[in-house]
Amino acid sequence: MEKNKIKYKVLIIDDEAQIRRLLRMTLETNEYKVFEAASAKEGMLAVTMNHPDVILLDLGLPDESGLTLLGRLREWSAVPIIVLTVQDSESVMIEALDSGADDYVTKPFNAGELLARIRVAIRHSLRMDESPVFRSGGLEVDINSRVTRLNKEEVKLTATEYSLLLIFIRNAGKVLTHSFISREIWSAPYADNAQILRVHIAQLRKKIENEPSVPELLITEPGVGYRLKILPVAEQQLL
Amino acid sequence: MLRTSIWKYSSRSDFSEYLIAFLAIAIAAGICFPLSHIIGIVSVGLILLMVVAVLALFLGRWPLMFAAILNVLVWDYFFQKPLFSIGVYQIEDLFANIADLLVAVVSVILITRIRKSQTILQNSQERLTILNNFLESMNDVKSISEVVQIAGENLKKHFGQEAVIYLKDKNRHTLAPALYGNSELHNTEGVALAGSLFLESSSGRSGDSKTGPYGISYFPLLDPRETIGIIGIKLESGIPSDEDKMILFKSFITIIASTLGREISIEAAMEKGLLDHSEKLFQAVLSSVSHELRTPIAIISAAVDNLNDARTSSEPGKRRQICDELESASNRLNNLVENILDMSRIESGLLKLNLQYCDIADLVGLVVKDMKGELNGHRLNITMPENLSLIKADISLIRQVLVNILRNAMMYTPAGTGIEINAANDPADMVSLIVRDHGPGVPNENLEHLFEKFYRVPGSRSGGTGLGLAIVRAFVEAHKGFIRASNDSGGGLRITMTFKAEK
Repeated sequence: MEKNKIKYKVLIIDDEAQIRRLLRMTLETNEYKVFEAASAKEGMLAVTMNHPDVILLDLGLPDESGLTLLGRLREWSAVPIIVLTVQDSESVMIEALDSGADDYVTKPFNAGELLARIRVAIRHSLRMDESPVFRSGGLEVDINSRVTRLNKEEVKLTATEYSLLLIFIRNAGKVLTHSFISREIWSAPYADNAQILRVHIAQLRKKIENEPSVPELLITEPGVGYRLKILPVAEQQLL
Repeated sequence: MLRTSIWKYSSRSDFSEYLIAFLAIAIAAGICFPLSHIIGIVSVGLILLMVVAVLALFLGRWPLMFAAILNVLVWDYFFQKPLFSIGVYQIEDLFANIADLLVAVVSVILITRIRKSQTILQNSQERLTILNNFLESMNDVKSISEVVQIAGENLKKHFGQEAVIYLKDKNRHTLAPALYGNSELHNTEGVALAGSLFLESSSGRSGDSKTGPYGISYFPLLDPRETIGIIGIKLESGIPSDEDKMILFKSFITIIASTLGREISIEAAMEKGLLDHSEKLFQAVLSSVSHELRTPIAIISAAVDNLNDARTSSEPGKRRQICDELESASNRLNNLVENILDMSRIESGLLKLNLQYCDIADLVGLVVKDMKGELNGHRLNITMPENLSLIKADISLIRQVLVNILRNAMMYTPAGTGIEINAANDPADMVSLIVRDHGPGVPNENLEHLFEKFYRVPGSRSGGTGLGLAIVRAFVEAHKGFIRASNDSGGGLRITMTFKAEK
């Protein structure tokens, strides 16, 4: 383990003491510095005092809804926020994402998955991804020359497919809601484009997935949207 | 009774009216005959004319016509010269006879016309009264079957007709087979006819009325917006031919239709209200139980993740802590399962009390000892009088009551605050048990809902099954005890239970 490694600060806002204690244990083992808050009020205070690099926010807080806190935080802070909740209704998730949450994880969660999401969120906020070449699994996109390759073979994308892919690359690892994607591409509400979006995603999958019917890169978040996964670069494809 | 008085008033002249006309003229002629030398035949003619006029007040049209003609004949035969002969010998007699006949006929026509319009007025007054009474009785009905019953009674009373009603199926656009009214009028051919009439009427195609087998006529029931059903009526003599009667009959059907329409929409609204309520309850159960189930599962899963990470689990202190978390999460799950089981026992009515003499002070001590591990920084102050009466209770249920109340208090009050448990013989033949916390209390307007299933005080923290206090109330009431929540004057929530004391 490197010495003097920067410890990223994680703020947990959750009213369940047990969840906080166990998350602290997981995060501290993985070299994060952890702060806790048990209510929206404490959470707000902790954000201003401790300047966390990422916030894990429970939606069911005693003093006010996590969504309200989310909105108030977003008025002045761009810190990545991962919503952590037992409420698994899609509409709540979409609302959270549209109110500025960067990602969500439903309880019970898997520690590995949560840590991956935290890493993605921090990388985004520190703009560590801005390399001209994006790689994930067998996919390689050179953003400068607009060349897309799957397993080292160039694939031709239409203009819409490429701009769709670019939106996912800019937000790699993050879940993007239907309405976000629709606004980005067509500047129009999702309801007008639901069918078209589905068709474009299917087309894109045919070109960038090894097996389009079982996508590994561009995965569906049921009822919420899509996520471009960051997979280890497939070395065996070089052979 | 009405039928004869209204509908059969006109031109019904039997033989007796002709006889009366004949006798009246004969008597008048008989009286005038010896006097005709004195008063002159013109006066006699006038007297006879007056008799006809008087007759016009109460006889029908055709007996009056008979009287008018008889009057001229009698005058001619008995009074004009030559006597005892019909025939005109002088030109002035001809004019007199014609004038006499004309006057008699015109006055008969005028008088009967006046009488007729008077009768019409009276009839429409009566119809209005009938309609009004019918409307009023329809206003008071409370259900569809009552509408049908009262409509049937009124149809029978005023038209002598039995009725059968078929209503629209709520979900499909067909006629429901369910029938209301007189089942003797129900037959397959009729239903088929009513069904086709319904389809015609609701699709906007004519759909006036149809006459089916057994002399039953079917009419569509039109609510302003749609066809809501079909009424079948057995008419004694076909569809009323009399125009007034027909109008009244159609008004009845319109009133029946609009009243049924009203009742149908009221019932639909009530059903929807009930549905909304159970939908809400279902959502509450779902969100409450899923939150309460998933939180301990999330804790267990997070604990297992940490145990699986050798870097954490190799430290004995952390391992110990993880095990504590696991234990408390499993207690929490167990508590949830207990609550759900208790609630289903209550709701299924299978709650049986195993009554024993029970010392509340002992029981409180026992519960507090068991809950030491959950106290989480709360301080418990127990005050029990020495000579507290016993109560007769199911010990395990009362224990659950106390556990739930204490858990509730600990969940909704800040750590470190106190919770007081008191008991007293107050009033003398009762034992009261009071649990008071030092939390924020509950807004007065929400107190009455506190013991309702899945009720959550607005703005309070999440967690809890939403069953705890509902179980408490059910258990206390199963002991014929009382429970009440109030805000203590010094702040905090106060829950008071009273049980009957055993001497």
